[in-house]
Amino acid sequence: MAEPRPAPEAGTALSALVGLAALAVGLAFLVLDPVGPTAPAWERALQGGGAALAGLLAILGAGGAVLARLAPRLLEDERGPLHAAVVGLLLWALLAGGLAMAGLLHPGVARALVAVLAAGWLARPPLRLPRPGPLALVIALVVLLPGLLDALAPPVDTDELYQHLALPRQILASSGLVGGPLHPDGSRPQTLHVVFACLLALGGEAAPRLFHLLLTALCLDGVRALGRQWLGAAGAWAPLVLVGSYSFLQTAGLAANDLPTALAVLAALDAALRGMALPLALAAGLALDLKYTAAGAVTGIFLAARLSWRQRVAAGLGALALVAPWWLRNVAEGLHPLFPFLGWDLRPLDPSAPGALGMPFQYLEKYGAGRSPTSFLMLPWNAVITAQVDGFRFLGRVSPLLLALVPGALAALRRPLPRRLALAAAVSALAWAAGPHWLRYLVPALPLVALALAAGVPQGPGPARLARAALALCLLAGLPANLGPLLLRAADRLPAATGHEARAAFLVRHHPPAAAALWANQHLPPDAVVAQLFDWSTALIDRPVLLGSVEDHVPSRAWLLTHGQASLRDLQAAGATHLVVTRTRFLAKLYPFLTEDERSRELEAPVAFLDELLLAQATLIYQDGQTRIYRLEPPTPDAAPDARARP
Amino acid sequence: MGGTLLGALLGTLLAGPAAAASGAFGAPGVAVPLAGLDLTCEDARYPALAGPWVVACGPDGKVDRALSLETGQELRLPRSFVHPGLAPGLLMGVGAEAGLLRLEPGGAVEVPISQVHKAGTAPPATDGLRGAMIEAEGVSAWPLQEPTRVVKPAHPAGWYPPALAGSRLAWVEDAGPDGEDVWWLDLDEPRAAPTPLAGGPGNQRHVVASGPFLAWVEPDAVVVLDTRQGETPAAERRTPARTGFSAPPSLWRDVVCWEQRPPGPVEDSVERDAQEGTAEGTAEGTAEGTAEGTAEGTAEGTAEGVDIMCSDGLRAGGPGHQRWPSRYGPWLLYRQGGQLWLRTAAAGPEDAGPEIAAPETAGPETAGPTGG
Repeated sequence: MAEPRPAPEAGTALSALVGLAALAVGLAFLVLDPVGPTAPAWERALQGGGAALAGLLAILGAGGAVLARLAPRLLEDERGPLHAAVVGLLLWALLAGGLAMAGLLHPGVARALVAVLAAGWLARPPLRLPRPGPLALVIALVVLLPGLLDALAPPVDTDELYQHLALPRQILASSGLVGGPLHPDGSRPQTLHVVFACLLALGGEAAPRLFHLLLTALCLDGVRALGRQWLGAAGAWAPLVLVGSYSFLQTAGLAANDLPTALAVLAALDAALRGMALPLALAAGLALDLKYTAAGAVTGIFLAARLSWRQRVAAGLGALALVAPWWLRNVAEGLHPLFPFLGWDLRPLDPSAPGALGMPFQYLEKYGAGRSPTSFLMLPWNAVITAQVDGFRFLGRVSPLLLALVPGALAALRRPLPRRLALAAAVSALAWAAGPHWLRYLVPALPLVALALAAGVPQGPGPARLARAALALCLLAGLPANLGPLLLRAADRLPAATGHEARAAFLVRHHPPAAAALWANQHLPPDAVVAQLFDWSTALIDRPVLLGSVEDHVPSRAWLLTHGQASLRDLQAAGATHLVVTRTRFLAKLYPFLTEDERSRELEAPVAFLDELLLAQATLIYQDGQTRIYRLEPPTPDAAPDARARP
Repeated sequence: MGGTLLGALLGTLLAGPAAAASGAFGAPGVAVPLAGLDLTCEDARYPALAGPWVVACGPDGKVDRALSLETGQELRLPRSFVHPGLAPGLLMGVGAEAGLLRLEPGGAVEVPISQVHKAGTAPPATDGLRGAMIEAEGVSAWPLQEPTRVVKPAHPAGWYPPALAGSRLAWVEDAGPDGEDVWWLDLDEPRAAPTPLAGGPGNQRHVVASGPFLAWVEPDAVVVLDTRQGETPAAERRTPARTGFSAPPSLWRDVVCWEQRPPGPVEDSVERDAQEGTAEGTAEGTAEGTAEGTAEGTAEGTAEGVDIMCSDGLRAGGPGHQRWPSRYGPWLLYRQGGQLWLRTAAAGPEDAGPEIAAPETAGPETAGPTGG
């Protein structure tokens, strides 16, 4: 005899009891666990998480309110949050960027901006918040957990240290923007950095990183939503390509710009396919603002857009208008509009200097597996199969699904929509191939590429099911290589993220020059100005910083090669009181494409010459490992200014 | 090891019959390269002399070997150090590398002492009887065999090791807007408070000790102080010098050696380094050293690069930069173009008598770490 079913009321009560008990026990476990997060770690997580959540809600509210007036159709379905977030982020960047250009982005103002944007909710935008299914939610939580630990651990990522956390700190410290040859990274578009500055002011170091993590989740949900809307069941494979790719998830919990760019590219794609010029212009403009490497994807999207050529031109001009203020700013400062990527003045500025005419900003040959015609033919295969996470051979990893899905995608070209997707993806991929073969640079276009490839996944029963099973096996085959490094990193970050490894110890363990930065914070005069030469610990130094680093230490090399004997004196004249110098070796094996003479002239000579200048003109006051701190003494009469050395 | 033996052989041959017979390195007025001991150390303060021993690093950048300049014997240390405090025949570590090693002809001996497991912010110091270290917010010295360590509040500049001269502990204090000053403390007075030893305009720093003598760097001078005479003007000897820009001075008794910055402009380093690369470690390079070795030291140095000057007239000069002096008795250890060199003064090694008290090798078991 069957058991009688419990009454529905009893079931609800029991469910509530079980739910509450589970939440309470889980919370108690986390809070009271002797080896769980420490009180300061909780504080950091709650403060940063609160600020990040506030930031996300603010952009959704602001973007939703604007779209409700401009393009309410975009809010009608599950793609609404994607579009609202992109427009909200653009609004935030415009407001904060304008204030920063005027020198008014004080910490208080930066915090208030979040509240201003959140006021968009007062307009009650008809926004449907993301509702992923349980399986999608579990997958997202699993793949984003390493990012959470990244976000809560101290920053050691190179790009965060020299740029994505360093610039927001400098913006907050000065209430304005920095730029020019002494702050070359500040001459890039600061769209995301002014937003990160606001988050930094609101919730500390973890806030921009957790905000970025939320944007990553939103990007994954956006790909899922677009896939379902445009491709049906086959669309579900697009987010799987992304969660199976190390390079996509690598920066999820860091302050970075590739994934926010991908978010904007995704919104631009949807707007283009829906024939909506204004949202396309806004999203494309934001994508270019966030990262110039989105240009390939944006071009592809414009080519594939369901718009007349006239509309496309208008939307394109609108997008460029959003980037133009940054170009105009550079021009107004006497720089090339695209500085620091182009327009370095490499002429000798001192008679003793050889100059650096012809020195490129970036050696494209350094990345990937060669740039011969054969290498280009083999590029898709090499980039997917032979890439290395820790080597310059593509510096990353992507899911093998990217190759496995190609036959299906080719077969799908007979249908109009996959053709448009494929066109946009192909242009994106070609643009990436023309640049440095670094998989991270592909990330802004990766959701678009994933959607284009997913369009060809066979649907239906029988052989199609077998094909999908094979694709699933292919995805699984790629997981160890792609998720393994992330899980290893997560295990490494865990003690620091939970407060069981001291911040200083973690920093020094992962980034040895941090010891010098910590010493500088403790011992340099409060009004010291630090020039960094061949060092990139900018975000860790609590003093104004000059030069810093980017790609093969271009700022330091360019400064030394153009200023020659006057290099340190000119830095002193620019306000520097101290130098942080990290000993750098440019290993020949990493630059096989350079002749001995080129390597010596462009890479090694500046380092050797700097050593000579330091011996003659600076005073060593600290050294730890390869990093040294020098004091710049006032010039002495016998330091003959007319005596010249040739670096 | 092979390189070291080659260096020893070369040094012995160049030193002449008398030195060869005694097994000692070098000969008056001769500079010889010490091949095999020139691996880069994690801490640039090493290789250096610990009395008549050269302590140097292995491939991992840690101090793990020693070469006797008296006998040519090379020792592998039973453990390695990153930032050891050095005294004649002694290496002392604190923190993760806590302990004391004594270098003897039979090998390196671990001396049982009361270990300090707290890490300092610079290498510790020892004179064989006491140990001393600096921390972020204090300085301390302790008898090596005793488990107590009193930390005196101070604000050391970090990085600069403390110096022990008799009963005096000296260190570089971070004086804030006033820059760096040298402070000291009388260890024989339990209630004594740290007091400034050298302050005023500019930075006073790089304090080192040998026996009862202290030396430090001031703007445009090196100062040697005989602590037995207290702070009287007669106790101080101030030598004009353009130094303190890189390595600390090195003190042996009251003889001080220092890096001398050239008065002129920076030389064309790239070309010079290229030339040195072919000359270093060859007979040519050594012959140069021979020719220069007995030159009288001046306060000016050569205009060709950083030279090393010593207050007793010994100097290391010539093309390239001679840097990181370490002096003991007649020996001057220094680095030039990535190579370790040894120059010997006119006085013989026998002039360098023991100047510190040797710690007990088989003392009573200590009560454990002195903590901190």
